[in-house]
Amino acid sequence: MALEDAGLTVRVPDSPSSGLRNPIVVPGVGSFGAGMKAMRTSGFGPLIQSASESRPILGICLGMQLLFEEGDEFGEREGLALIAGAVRPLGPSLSVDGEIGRTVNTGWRRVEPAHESHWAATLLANSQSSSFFYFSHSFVAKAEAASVVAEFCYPERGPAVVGSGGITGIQFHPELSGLAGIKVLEAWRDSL
Amino acid sequence: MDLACSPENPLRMVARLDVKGGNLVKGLQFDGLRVLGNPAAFAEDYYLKGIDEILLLDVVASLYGRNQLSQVLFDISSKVRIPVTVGGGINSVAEAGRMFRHGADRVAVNTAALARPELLRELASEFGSQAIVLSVEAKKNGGNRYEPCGEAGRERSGKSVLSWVQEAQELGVGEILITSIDRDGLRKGFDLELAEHVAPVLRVPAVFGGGFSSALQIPALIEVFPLAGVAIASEFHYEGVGPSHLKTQLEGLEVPIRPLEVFVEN
Repeated sequence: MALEDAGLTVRVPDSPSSGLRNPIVVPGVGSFGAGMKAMRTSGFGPLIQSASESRPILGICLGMQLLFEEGDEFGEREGLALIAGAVRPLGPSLSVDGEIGRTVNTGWRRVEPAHESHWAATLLANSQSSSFFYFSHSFVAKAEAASVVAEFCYPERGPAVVGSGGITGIQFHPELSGLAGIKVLEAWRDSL
Repeated sequence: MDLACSPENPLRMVARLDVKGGNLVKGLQFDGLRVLGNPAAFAEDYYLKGIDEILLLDVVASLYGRNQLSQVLFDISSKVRIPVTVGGGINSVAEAGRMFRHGADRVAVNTAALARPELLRELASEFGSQAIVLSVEAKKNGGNRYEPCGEAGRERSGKSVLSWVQEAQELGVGEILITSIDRDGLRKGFDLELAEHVAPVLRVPAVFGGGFSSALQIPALIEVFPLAGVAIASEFHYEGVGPSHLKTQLEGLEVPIRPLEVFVEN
């Protein structure tokens, strides 16, 4: 529904046989292993891979992580490999008494372009400088610097937006980030 | 690692909506519920006034075994573009899955986990720790002992809040919501003693609630507790300070918050 707020018309394909003709959004909540298993068994994974040469693709949250080459989370390790890099746990965090806990990034985080001068060329073009977006994840992409468009910092710097050709990934949830999120989706629409 | 809010990680302002039979309700110390109206209309109003998150709790669900939030959740998630955490009667992976399909972003679990703690591990491994919140509804129980209660305060658990929080963290919950039953609805300030009591055992981010009535209480809470978020109900519902005014006041007190957005009427 947030995509519709941004002026896009959404069609959810029933099966891979109906084909993918338009720009593609890969949403997703869950684990990397389960997500890739669903991609493979449904047949959408190979279809997205072959469409990537001719169609813009936007991955959101887990959908962004699946764009990378491999993941560490439960089960299948091989990703869609549309962007170079791997998906690894956030943290681990070391608490005061030396006990190791899992790091979860839930909440609104400040997002800054990776290259300060390039603000207007990114999906943040319509947003105010250093806007806040809502994140909810416990794994993070380790991407090559050249593909990182914008960054967050929790507990250390990680990619908030990645891009490579027509492939874009967003680690935060633009659909849950108020007006700032809708503006990001509008910027993606304008780039199509 | 730092669990408390910071300029990079602003305080989450959470509007708590207690729901019974499709209506927004509010009680005093979890008792004497008053019907206040349509929860989706309140949620949309708070969203437009800059709230960061909605917490939707069916307060009679555990009693009846299943919550009646599907319609309310659908109405809210079609109107607001912020996360919605849902609780009430979540007693299995299947029931949590039903809430996620209806638009929940996270689920909060209390009564069913007190009865069977392993549920927390099952939920965390199925949906990820970031999606699972332990809701602790705490009542002071003589001396310096706090007891988590189930069934929206009606059922004592016999556990201690401290050991329960520690156990739940080991089982993989990603967040803890702590509510003081003794202060609930009174609008006389947070239970700082409870906050100070729980603070040392926290290993995941925590949201604190029960009794909020003035912006000044938030810096006082931050002094004793690694505060990631505050849950507020009565003060908003009864039109005390609203979310946007509270944010302005907190900015003045140098509490890190997400800045207000400008919604343009169209």
